[in-house]
Amino acid sequence: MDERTGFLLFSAIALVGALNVVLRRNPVHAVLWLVGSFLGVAGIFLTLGSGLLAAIQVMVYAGAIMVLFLFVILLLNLETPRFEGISLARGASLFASAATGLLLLWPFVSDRSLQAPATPAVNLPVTAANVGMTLFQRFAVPFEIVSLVLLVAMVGAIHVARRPRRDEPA
Amino acid sequence: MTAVAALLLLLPLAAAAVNGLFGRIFEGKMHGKMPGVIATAAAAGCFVLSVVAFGKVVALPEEARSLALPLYTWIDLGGGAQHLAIDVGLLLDPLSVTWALVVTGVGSLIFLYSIAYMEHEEGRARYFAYLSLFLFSMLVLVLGDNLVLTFVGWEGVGLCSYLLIGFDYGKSSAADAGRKAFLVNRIGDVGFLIAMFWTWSQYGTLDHLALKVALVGVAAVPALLALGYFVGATGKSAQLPLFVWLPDAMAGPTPVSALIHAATMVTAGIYLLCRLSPLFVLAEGVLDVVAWVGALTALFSGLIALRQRDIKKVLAYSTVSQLGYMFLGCGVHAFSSAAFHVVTHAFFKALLFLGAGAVIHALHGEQDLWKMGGLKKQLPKTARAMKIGALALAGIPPLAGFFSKDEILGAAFDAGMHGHVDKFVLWGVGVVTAALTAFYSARLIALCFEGESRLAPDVHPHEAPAAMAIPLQVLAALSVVGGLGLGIEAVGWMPLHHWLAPSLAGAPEGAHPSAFLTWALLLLAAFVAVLFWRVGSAWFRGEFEAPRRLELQFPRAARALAGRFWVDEIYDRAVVRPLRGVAELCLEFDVRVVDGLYRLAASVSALLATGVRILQNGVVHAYAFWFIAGAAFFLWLATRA
Amino acid sequence: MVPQSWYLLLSAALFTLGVAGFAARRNSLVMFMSVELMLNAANVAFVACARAHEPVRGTVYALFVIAIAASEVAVGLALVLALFRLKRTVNADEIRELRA
Repeated sequence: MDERTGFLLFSAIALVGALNVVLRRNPVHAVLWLVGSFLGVAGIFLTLGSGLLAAIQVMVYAGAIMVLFLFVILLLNLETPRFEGISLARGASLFASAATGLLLLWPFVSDRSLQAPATPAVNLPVTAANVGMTLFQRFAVPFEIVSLVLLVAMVGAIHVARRPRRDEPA
Repeated sequence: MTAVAALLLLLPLAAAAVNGLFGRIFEGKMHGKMPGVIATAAAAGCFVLSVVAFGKVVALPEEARSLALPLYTWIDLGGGAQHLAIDVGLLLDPLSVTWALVVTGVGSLIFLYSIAYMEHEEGRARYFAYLSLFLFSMLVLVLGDNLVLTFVGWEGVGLCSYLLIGFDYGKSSAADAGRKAFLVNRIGDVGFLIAMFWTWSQYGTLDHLALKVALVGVAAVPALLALGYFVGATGKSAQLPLFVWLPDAMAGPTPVSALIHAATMVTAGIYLLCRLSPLFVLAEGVLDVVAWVGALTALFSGLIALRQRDIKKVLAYSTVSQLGYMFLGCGVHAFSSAAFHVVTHAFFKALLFLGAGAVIHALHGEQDLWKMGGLKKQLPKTARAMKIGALALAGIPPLAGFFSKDEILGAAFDAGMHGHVDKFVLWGVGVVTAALTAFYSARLIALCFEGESRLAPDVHPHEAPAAMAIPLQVLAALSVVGGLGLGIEAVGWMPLHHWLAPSLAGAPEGAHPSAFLTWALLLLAAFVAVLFWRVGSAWFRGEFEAPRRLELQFPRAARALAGRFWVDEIYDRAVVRPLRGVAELCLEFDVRVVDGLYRLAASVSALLATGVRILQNGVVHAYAFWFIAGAAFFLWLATRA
Repeated sequence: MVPQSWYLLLSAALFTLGVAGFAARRNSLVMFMSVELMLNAANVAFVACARAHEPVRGTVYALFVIAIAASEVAVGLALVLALFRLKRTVNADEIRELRA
């Protein structure tokens, strides 16, 4: 499977998934479509030559994060709502997002020079070893900060989500 | 030696820290005596160390009796010619050691007394922490080898005085009295500070010894400079016109009055004058001012003391009066005589205050002399001790006060003989004050211990416990022999003067009065003292007939004396109320103009905010709209370029 | 070879879908999912752009984005849970207590 076929296939998966995330009314369905979209993006990473990232994408996003979403949805035990309707605020922001989308896509239409094929750099192949070296040498400090952020987020999430004790106000 | 001196300072500081920081923990131990025992042990240790220091200094040859013990450099500003470097160091010389001995010796006795006096009071640990801190500050003041360190001690004792006057801070009179003492002292301190800065710019040093050297060969010191120090001294030593805080300071516990407001702290002004005596003798006319202020203060407060009802107020005005004597002594170049009077005064005035404390203790807080009387039957020991103190204060020979007071009067007369005729007037004022002193001392004793009992019916006085009695006995003994032991001018026995001479500026050259004149003055002083003691005793022992008649004859004078010449009221009209008026004006300005500006700014921004707060409507998607629209706007800017 | 712009096109499309989802949906859970879509779009752009220069760095950036996304989801879902306990709803329209 050459790169072009792969790209077309996976981007189709990603886009259809994303579209359905936005359109499905039942949140459980939306999550499942989101998983599909993530898998598509993982495929894109593969075609870009970063198998490591594809694997992480599948594990972290499609695995961990999506399970969290599902878990929360099931915990809340929501029923499928009817058509949500459009409020003034949501209509306005939808309009603004449409404008954003047009503006984002505009350069590809107007500027043909962007359509030249890219030549991959070959100086350092994306292997787990190389990524690890970069992560722990050049990006050691950001790496530590990110791990701290994760820790803080974990503690914060546990604190916020825990059921309040009977003697304290909710 | 450095270790001894440093320990001398650290012992009371450590006692203060222990009592202040951990006092709550052990306050109740040893029947509540633990804090007092710690503080007293430290004070007694200080006394022993002072004696050691005294021995060291005595062992030195007479010309070189000063030991400078630098500890470390405190402030070093570097720089060129005007190099300001201030050491923390101690100076042991006859003057400082004398003061240290008095402070720690009398101090230890008063600490001991306090153990029993404060036994049932709340906040004992706090009390002894303050007391130890006071001892530390006083030693810094006395032993510091430069003016800055002296000033640190000066402020430290002021702070402790404030804390101890207001010890019973729940009582508003005590708290007010503490504040008053603090504020009045500030006025004096400004003078001290300005003089200190001036000294630095003029002579380039603040070190006591170096300053003495720098002054050699100087023709004249600016009078205002010396006056600045004198203003500081009048604040601390309660002289005209800054004496008003001392009578109010009697709101503090009685041992505090004895230690701080009679025996030690208030003599700091005399110490400063003695320490700077080389400077003062070079300042044109300043010593005359000192002498006049001292003499007038002595007379003025002696008069006020005549008609006070409160036993502690009598003693307070008497203290002011005696301090006036000391200033008079300094003013006529008799610095060593002033120091002599400081020492004897510390003995007998501490004795009187502690005795008064024992009386007040026995009467459960009663301080009104008209509600005492006949107490010598119930309190024989206290009565005997206090009578000795009063006799010494009155200047009855051969007790301590007689010799020191007579020396000051003799020096004033001496100065008169040397052509300064106004000094004869000073001498006259001094003799009149001596008569007043004898009179009110006798009145105090008669009203308190003699005659019929005027006690409230439910009061049953009891003799003080041993811890209070022992200091009384020791101080009584010192009041008896203190004068004889330290100097009798008429027979040329003057060990204290010879000892102090290297530290002080000498008296001007000239012939001393003849032996005949000296003896005559001595006898005159003794005669005046005995006579007025007799009169005072007789008048206030029985039916009060004579004083009543006098009162009816001169009603205005009587009212003026009882009203303390309305000095507080005059200050209130002249200083306090105008200041309050200015403050109220400032308050108006603050409330209307300054606050108005802020309120204006606040209402303008509130007005602006009402427009903007519409945006914050709580709808997440409205925020999302602004967010996305903003992003779109910047994208539009980017693609347009 | 696929031109780089195709990847960027895909990224832009995904991002637009995410923005639209965030703007149009009122279920706060779905709004979170839309945010995840946007983050993924950014990752695609990172990796695609880095391919021509330093592919390893692109991957590292993407890893950081994933880590931050994970934190965000954890805290965000915890907030949704707490909010649900309080209001019995996850509907963004019905939650407007924080107005001035």
